Amino acid sequence: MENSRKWVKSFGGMILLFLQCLSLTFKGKTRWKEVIEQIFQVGVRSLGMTITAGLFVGAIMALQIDIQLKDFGAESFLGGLSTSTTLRNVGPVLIAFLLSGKVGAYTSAELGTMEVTEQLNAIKLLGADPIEYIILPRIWAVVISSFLLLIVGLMVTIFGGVMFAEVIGVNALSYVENIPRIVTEWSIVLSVVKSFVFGVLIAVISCYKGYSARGGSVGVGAAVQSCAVTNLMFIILFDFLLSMTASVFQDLFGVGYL
Amino acid sequence: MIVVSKITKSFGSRLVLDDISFEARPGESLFILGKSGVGKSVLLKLIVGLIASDQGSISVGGQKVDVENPRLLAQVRRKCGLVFQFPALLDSATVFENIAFGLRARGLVEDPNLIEPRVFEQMRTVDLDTSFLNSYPNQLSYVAQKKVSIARTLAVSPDYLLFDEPTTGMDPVATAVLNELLKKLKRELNVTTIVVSHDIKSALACADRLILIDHGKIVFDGEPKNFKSSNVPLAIDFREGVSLGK
Ligand SMILES: Nc1ncnc2c1ncn2[C@@H]1O[C@H](COP(=O)(O)OP(=O)(O)O)[C@@H](O)[C@H]1O
Ligand SMILES: [Mg+2]
Repeated sequence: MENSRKWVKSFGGMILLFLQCLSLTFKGKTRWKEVIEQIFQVGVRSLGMTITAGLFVGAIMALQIDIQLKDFGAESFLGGLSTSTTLRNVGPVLIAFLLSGKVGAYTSAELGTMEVTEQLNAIKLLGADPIEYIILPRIWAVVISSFLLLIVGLMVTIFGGVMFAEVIGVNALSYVENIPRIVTEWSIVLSVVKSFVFGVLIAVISCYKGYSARGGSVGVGAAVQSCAVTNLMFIILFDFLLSMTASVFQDLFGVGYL
Repeated sequence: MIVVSKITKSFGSRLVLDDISFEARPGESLFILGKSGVGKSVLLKLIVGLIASDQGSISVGGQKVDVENPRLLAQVRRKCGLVFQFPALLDSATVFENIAFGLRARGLVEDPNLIEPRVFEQMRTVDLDTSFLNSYPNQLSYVAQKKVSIARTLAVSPDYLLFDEPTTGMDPVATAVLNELLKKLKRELNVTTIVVSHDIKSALACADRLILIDHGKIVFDGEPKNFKSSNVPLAIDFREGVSLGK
């Protein structure tokens, strides 16, 4: 009972924070210079990690799907199938997991520390709104850098698949040629939409968890932990919801799948 | 004038402040003393509306402190400056940016060129080496950080200054500078100050009036000379600097 009350409160708080930030953005309150600085702070430093992980994810997908296709003698479909699965599901989810670890932990710990050391209270008393001053630029920085990193990550993943195809004896050219036969523009749309939604989730959850930290370093620890769990849960949940929506679209309008 | 009237505040089942009433008159330097954990910081945060009381009311300069009303609360806060117990500096900003923060946020200086002289002036006031201007808070000693925090609050020239244990953790020189500063603020600017502390020496040197809080209640309210002869047990403990464990 106590737990579900807390959960509802935290869910409501996140939605409220999201709406507040949207409204501040429409009022033109975003300090874009600070956003760009923050993108360098959190985004650029995650590039290496995203690329490394992306290459391996691509390779894993190619390897796994190849094993299964071999049973049917359908290896010529490897390029299309592995790219499609990567783009639509595995890629966005895995890369979002990585980013939620890196960007999410950084942001929630930073904001949590600012809260428990009263930096946010000091900002309020000196006449500024911490949501506008601190949170808003961070939200946008995390959304934008997550989105860009996801896109970069996805491209690298596809590249990883191509490279690994050669290793497992599938001709790279035929692998690439097979991609457009299965991957449509809808796969790409779904992939981009997922990347954007995951970026927003990571940003809002991480900022909210940090901002609502209370009670010293123990409180910051709890906030970072809760941030990690919440990020993972919501990424999975939204991956499911978006995939469901995509399949409904396919049933209704004949678009959206494979 | 700050009027605190019948304030009660609990956290969970723990009653921290129990029906507290007092006022800080214009230009007065009021010291609130109490042992660690009696709710001194809570009291200051109630005055600036960072937390809400359970019962009672507070007014600052005739305006009610109402945490439910952000617009009015902003007006109250514009008149106040609170120096937190711990420095609470923005650690991603330099010393200069920290001290200039309130000037910018409150739009107090129209010409951006005038910000720097104001920042320098405050650094001199708190006896802070101006070579720290572009340092970050984590490169500074605790005492220097606290001085930055005081300078940041003084920079916005508040009518009501609230200090939370300004001398705790400070060296004797910094303490003397601070005591002089408190006297000067009163003498020259007629600022109303509330200082929360357990530094009885500073209190006796600077206060116009002293309030002693124990177990959520005010147990003494009067001038320093009366405090020196008070029979209240906690007053005796504070004077003699010993706790008898009562
Ligand atoms: N946000 C809070 N939540 C719960 N308890 C609090 C909170 N703030 C203060 N307290 C409790 O109130 C009491 C008084 O705290 P405080 O005002 O910080 O004491 P001090 O007189 O040392 O400044 C302490 O017991 C503290 O644990
Ligand atoms: Mg305190």
